[in-house]
Amino acid sequence: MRSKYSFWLAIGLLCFYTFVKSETVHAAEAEKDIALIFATSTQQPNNDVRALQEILQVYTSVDVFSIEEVNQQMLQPYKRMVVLNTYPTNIPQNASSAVDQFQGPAVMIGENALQFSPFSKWQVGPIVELRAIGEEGLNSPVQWKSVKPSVDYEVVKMASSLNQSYPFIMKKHNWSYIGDFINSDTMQYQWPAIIGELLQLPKPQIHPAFIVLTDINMKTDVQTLQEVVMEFSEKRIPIALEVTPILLDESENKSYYLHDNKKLLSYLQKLQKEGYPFILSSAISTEKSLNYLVLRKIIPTINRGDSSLFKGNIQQGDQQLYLSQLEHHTIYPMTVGTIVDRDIYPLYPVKQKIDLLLKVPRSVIGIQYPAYLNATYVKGLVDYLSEHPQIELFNFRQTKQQVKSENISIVQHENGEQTIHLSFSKIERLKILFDERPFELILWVLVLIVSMFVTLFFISTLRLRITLRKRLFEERKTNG
Amino acid sequence: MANTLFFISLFLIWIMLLYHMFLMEGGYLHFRSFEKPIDDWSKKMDKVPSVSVFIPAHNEAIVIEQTLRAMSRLYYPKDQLEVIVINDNSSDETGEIALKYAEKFSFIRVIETVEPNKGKGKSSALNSALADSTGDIVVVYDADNTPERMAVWYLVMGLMNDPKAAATVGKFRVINAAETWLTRFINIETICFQWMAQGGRWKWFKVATIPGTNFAIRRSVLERLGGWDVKALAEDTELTIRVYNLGYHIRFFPKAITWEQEPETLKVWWKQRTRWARGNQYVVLKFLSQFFTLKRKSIIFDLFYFFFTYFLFFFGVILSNALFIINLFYDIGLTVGDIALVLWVLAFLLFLGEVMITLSIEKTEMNRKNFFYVILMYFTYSQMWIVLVVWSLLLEIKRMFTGQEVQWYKTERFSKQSDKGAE
Repeated sequence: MRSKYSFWLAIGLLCFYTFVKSETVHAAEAEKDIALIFATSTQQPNNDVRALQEILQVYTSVDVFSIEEVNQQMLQPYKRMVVLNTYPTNIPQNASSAVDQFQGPAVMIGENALQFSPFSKWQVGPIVELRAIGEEGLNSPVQWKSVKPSVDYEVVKMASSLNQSYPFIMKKHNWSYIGDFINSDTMQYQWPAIIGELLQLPKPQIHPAFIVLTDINMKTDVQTLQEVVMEFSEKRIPIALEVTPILLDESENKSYYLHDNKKLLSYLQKLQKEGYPFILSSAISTEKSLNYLVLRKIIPTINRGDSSLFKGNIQQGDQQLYLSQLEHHTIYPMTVGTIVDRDIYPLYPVKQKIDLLLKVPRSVIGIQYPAYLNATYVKGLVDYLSEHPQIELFNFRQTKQQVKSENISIVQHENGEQTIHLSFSKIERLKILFDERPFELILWVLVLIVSMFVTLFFISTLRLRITLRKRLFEERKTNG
Repeated sequence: MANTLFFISLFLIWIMLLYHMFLMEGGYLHFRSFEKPIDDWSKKMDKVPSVSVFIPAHNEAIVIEQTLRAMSRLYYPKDQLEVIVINDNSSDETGEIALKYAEKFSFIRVIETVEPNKGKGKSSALNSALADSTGDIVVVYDADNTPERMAVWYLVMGLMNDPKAAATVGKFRVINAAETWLTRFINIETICFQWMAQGGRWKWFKVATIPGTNFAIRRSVLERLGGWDVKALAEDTELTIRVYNLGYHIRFFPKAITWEQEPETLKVWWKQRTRWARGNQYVVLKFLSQFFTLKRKSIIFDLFYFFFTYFLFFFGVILSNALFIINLFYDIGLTVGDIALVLWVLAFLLFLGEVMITLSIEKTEMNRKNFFYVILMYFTYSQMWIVLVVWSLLLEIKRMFTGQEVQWYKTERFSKQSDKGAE
């Protein structure tokens, strides 16, 4: 009897869980927004797919599928769809009928488009060498198999070769067409806005931004640095300081250590206490540079370049425009580049780059301000940034960061607090000291030896004095 | 660049300071042990060798009487002793005073230098006496010396008990130490020098330098060497090296004590020390080419020490001072940290420790007054040496290029000295 009740109870629970689970799945599916479908030769996402995924992710959630795995049921929960064809292939029947029946905003990219019913009336045109897309010129010509669209399509953007123009981006109802995803030159700054518009995505307004004072090393003039920091500070602009503690001069085959510039070192230590964030730049081993700075009470929480020791890394490069997560590491792209004081208008290229980035929704504006420049350009830069309220400067000190090496553990909390744990043994500290300052260590050994001898001499002097007193006392006693 | 120069200067300075530190410890150990064998050694002194005491004298009327009075009181069998005053072209009453003593004491006699040795300096005078004497042992005293009664006895004792020793050198003390601030400094300097340089080197390397006075040397050795080098300004250092090169050593036996007069004015001090510095520079340069052909390795080491002292050490000090001063007005990128300051303080403490230990060895010298003089000395007297050595080097270089003949400067004497040694 008891087992009978148990059976029904089990069935009941199973039904309940099944119901709950299917509800959960539906809820999750209902949240899905963009299906990014790709056709590549390897059936794996290539660089273009990844770049497109990144662009779309700025707006909303994105799932990526190979064209081979697409079917109608699978596409059902998605509101929007992008099909990226990067090589000519025959689209599987299941996939093409699923895509054909998609009702939401959809973008078809590349030459396989004509195999789908919305574009079946289109004709293939000649292969041409494209030199520009819309107003944006291409640095090197791109070969493209042109199309002749049906008249019912609205041409959004033309592309042009040397002497002729071709429809390149077209639109009709929910469907849009893009001739090719040419993600280079200035086009990489155009695609996010174009695709966002075609997919009718709400445009994010905010651009996270940061300013890094770079090139701080032993050769930095502390006076100049102080002026720059002061200028930014007076304007209440958060900055981070990128320090190269050990500078390697290959021409001289010599290492310059930060401690060789005592004033600079103490100034940086002061800034650390005041709550400025520090970025580590290593000319040599990252761990060695990290040890060096931390032992001098300067705590870097972000690294310039790749490093597994840091959760936060700053990277330079034209391709990266957004804050991104890669294997639990946050990548902060230095998108704007540096101010070159050799230029006639040093801030002009910087402003130009910011303008381009402002076209890319939610792109990061990462600016380098070299520490060897004086404070002259601070005002111009800050004024320009303040003209764009969508730029939101953030303070690295108020981000969560983590650094972990063999002997160092740093956790930075969002309130700016840093928890530091060092586990250097005395031998390790001595070894580090010897590596950094072999001569000084030898001199300290000398100090130790000489101190011992000086002590010995004073003891001997005392001993002689006591002996002499005894002798004088004896003599006095003997002589009466 | 500035850092490299600074490290070079530190190296040059500290290699010398460390060596002196090591010598000081040796000097202290020697003090604790040098008297122990005296009882044993005395047993060999029942039959003593004949001794000729040479006193070169050029215009020494102020001091010669006191010196001869001390000689007359020497503890040594008078039939085995001859004291020879070498009156070298004196224009004062030196000869007369000496003759008075010669008439009174049969073991004292006076000889006059003759051409070509006449008035040519100490070495020539000593060579004259060497030719005109017979003692198995030659003992030399400067004319301002008042040896203690047992001084010659102990010098000879050292030789009798050490067949490998060609010479024994005793200790000298400053008779006019309390006269001026300069003589106080010199007193401290001589005490320190003897226990550190003489005592320390003897303890560790069996090396000592003939100091020019209060030393005994075997006639046989002197004759093999052909006497004193008349060209040498520091004839004592020069003789030392030749003695070692013969395969002998020189024993430091501080039981033999003499008291001598030191310059009371800066002018006299400058002239005397310039002669010493130039003399030592001459010796280094003379033997520099023979560095590795000299028979005794210990003396090569000693020569190298002289080379370091008179050339490299002072170069290091000057370089260090120059960098310090330039850095006060112009940033030359000196990045050596607090360690430089620590080393500077330590160098001073080391100096203080070394001097205090040597002053404590001498019964009455370690007193409050001298303690303050030692501190003052570091910043004044010791620094004067830097200028002096540079000046001497310039003179010596000039002499080498011009072929100018060396003028032997006889140290000016001062009256009113006590009768300390002879008592």
